[in-house]
Amino acid sequence: MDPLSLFFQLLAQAFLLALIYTLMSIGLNLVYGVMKIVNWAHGPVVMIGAYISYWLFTLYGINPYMGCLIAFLMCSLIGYAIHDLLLHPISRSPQFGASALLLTYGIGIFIVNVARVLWTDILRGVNLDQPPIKIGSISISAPYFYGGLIAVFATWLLYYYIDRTMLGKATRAVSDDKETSELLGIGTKAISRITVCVGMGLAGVTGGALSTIFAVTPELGNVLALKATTIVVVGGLGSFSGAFLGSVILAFAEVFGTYVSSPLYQPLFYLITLFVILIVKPKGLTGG
Amino acid sequence: MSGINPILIVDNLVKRFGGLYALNKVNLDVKEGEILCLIGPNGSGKTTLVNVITGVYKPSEGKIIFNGTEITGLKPNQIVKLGISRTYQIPRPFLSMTVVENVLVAALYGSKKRLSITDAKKKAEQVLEVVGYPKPKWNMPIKNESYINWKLIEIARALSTDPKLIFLDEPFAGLNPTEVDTSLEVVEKIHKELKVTIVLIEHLLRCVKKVAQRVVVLNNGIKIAEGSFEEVINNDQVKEAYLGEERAT
Amino acid sequence: MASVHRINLLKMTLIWILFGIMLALPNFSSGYVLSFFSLMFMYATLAQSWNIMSGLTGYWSNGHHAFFGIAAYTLAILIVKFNYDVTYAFLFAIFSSTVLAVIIGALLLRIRGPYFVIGTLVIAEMIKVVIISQEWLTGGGNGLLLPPRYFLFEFYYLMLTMVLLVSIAAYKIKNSKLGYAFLAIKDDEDAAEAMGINVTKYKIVAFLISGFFTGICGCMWALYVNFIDPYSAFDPTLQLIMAVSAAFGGLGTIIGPLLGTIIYVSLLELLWVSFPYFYFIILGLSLAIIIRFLPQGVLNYITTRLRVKKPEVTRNVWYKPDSNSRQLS
Repeated sequence: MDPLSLFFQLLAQAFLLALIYTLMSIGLNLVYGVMKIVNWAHGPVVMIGAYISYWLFTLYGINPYMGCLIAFLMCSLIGYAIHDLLLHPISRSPQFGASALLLTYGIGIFIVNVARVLWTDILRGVNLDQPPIKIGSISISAPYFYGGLIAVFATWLLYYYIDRTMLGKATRAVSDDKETSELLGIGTKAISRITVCVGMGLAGVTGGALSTIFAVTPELGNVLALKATTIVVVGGLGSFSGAFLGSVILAFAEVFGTYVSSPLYQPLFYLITLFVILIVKPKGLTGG
Repeated sequence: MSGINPILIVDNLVKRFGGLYALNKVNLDVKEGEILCLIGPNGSGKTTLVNVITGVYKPSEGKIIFNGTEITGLKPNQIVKLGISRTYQIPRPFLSMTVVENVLVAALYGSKKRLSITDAKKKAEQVLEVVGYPKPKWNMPIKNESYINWKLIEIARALSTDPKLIFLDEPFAGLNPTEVDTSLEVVEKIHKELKVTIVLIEHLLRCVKKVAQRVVVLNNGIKIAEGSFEEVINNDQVKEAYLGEERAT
Repeated sequence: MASVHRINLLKMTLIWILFGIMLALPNFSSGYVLSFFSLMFMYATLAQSWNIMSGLTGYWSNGHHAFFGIAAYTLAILIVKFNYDVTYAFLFAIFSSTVLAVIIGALLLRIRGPYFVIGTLVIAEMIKVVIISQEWLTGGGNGLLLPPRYFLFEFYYLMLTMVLLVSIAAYKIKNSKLGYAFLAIKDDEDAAEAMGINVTKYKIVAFLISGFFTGICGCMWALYVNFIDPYSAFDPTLQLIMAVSAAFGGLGTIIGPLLGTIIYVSLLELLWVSFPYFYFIILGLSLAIIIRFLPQGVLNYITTRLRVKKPEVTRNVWYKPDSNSRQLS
């Protein structure tokens, strides 16, 4: 295949991956907006979503894209538990940001290892045997394509929720100014709870989409935790456009990076980017 | 009136936050040994001025000269050692420590002298005596103390670094009238006995009237008036700043 | 007051008895018991050195295993690839972990709270990736084999000594001028700076001391296990155990990390022996549980329950909206 077509193919792939990553990091940004914490359990829940989709497909033949919906519901429940049992009770302590980070870090390890015990480290994946989608001389892998579609659809639903519904407005209010929202009678606990549910639910949906693309294994949870954090910190905590920017950077680095250097150096790309942003501009590229 | 030399010279100080001018070409001389009151409506830049002078912020433009040395751009811990200390509007005690320890830390690290812990403790106790802090409370955890006691400790901490100049940022805010009177006495006592130059940021005009030897008024980051209390309160610009245009006339 | 005095006396006696037992242990126990205890002492040392940084200054470092690993690897590389004498390699390795600590401290100076946690985690991860990638130097994922040096016996006594040394160091620091600087930084860093404390300098000092002791552990461990690879030397489990042990016992106290390690590591060993599957699950869960339920540590919880301390001292543990205390509660 000629280099130009290869380039466009990779471009398409990177772009679609960026869309999926955006879906993943939007959930994280949502939770940050409302509770001002970085949820390190987000990646592991994506992994759980992937497993949900996998098992539904393998055991019951349910289409993984339907599986995304079920993953959304189940992962929302996980979010409900995490919020009410763990996050909310410590939400008024000083150093809540650091405490919540460590707490969710622990929960993340917990989730990853529960998955390990239940389903072992065997690589799994949903293989739909779909033919690649051809546009001109470029063929785009079908899972990437449909994954991207789901990401766009879910993001649009989220946009509708945040922008057009009362709940969404209340969520935006709490994100902007929690104290004043409370004074105005908005139930901030309920909003936090719902937002964490939605955020985790979106993580589940992302997992469902990714189950057709990546190898599903418990370690995926750890990998994605770091990637998701990188995206939101680099892009700008709490900013949806930042989530997209960060996702684009990461996705492109990943897809094109494998052609440029050895996989041993792969993680360094995003680790170094994350670190530099952390030191130089912690509010992220779109922050401040 | 003691001392004619300015102990502190603020020269064309500008502080920008993004596009906002918190301080706009502020010029100020503080004379040695005086009590200067800095007043102005909320948001006029008083605390920002203190923050810039004490090194919390770097000025965007301008110079600050203390005792003949330029201190622009130095860090807070360096400036304290040179002889300027400050209190905070909302007290910031070290909650893990006792009352005396809170003051001790300042004595340990804030003065030019290198003290041992025992010496610093003695010094802290001396200072607590001066501000009149009740003795039985000295070794109690500070987190159980009352608000006015927290404000007293702020002053004690500022004193224990052997300062030549102290900025008191609204030391009477949040106190009831009796507490205000007590605190006023402490301020006057410090000024008389320890011979420190004091810059007092305050809203309560009766306090300003009582202690101020000179008053400087800030509004929107600009110095709009300077002089004795009487001169300043009759100034039209000052009245306008506080009361609004209509009521001033 | 009498009850406090009695408790202190009890504490002291217990400690001396325990110490005696620990000294004599190798004479009447099996290899398994000795190995268990030596590792426990190592974890206690790690917990205490982590405590010197994170407990006293309030900056939770989530990457301390980097110092452990770098020391181990520097030692191994110098011995295996450059034929250094063990003593010189040891000294150089400790030097490297201390220098790394200073560098990391300097890099992370301006970030606090959750960003600091992420920063330390990322650095540790980066170092691990670099080690794995430089196969020509480090043996990559295959690790390095060292000539045997410490046998269990020696390792046991070395680790026992280390626990004592680092605990004495922690005690001296906490009660010194430096200790006040750390505590002030923990309570309110900006106010501390306004009081004359050079927070930059002291944060780096905290890192330095902490990295130093952690590095020593790394070296001794490497010489005992004889084989190191990036997954064991930079094992995040190390970091988790040292942090949870210290936090469980009581961050910022001297006896906390020791007590916490004894209880926590014993629990983990029980778990590993009976239900190994649950080991890592519990590791993760325990961090979450500690933060949620016992942020002040178990010691503090018990002493308030027994009413040795007045209850008001730990009142309002959860709800402190205006508090500037950096403790995790």
